[in-house]
Amino acid sequence: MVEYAVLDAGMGGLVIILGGVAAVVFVVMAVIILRFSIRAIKSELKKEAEAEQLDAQQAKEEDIKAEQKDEEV
Amino acid sequence: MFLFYMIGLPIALLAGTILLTLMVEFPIVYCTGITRNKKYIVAVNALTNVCLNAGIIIVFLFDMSGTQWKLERDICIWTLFAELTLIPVAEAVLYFMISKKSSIKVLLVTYVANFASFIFGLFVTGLLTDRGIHGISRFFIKLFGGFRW
Repeated sequence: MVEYAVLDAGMGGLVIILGGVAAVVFVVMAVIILRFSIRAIKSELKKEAEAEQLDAQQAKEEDIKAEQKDEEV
Repeated sequence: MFLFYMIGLPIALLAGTILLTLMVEFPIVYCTGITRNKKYIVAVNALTNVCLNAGIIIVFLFDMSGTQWKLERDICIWTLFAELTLIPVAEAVLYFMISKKSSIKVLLVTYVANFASFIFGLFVTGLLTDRGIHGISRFFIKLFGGFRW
């Protein structure tokens, strides 16, 4: 009986160790993916905002040019 | 074998679910023109999938005994809750920031995409796991109140 009890405890410990390592691996992977994706989202949003600003600037410049042409005429 | 359970399983879970979700959601989001930014779609899906998988891992840790179909039931409940409320809303908010379409259309498309990936995920889980299909069908039979064919 004692042998079985020791074996049972040993298997339980093994399961806990394996599960713990698996959980740690999962958490590390999850943190890596989260950091990368959040960084990517932020950079893409920044790019989008900059592109919009550029568009707005170009539109303004074109308006000014058009006005100048009108005045010249 | 131990090495597979320790290192392979968590990585396979994360990579597999992200790949599957992208396979279903990417064409829907891209073709409806919510955003044409490929990197953004991939990043948003990776972000939401990590949250889904964190919940699944927590369910695993709580129901490790694996008896009485508790594991399957709890995974079904968590996935339903996450895929129908948390993830579409979070994704829709993220798509609002970049999309020029109307917000109702964005919300609808993200809901449809997530529901499609949920159904696809159910099939894949049922095919890949031994007890998965029994657990999933048991849960839905109980959910719909013993509906008879």
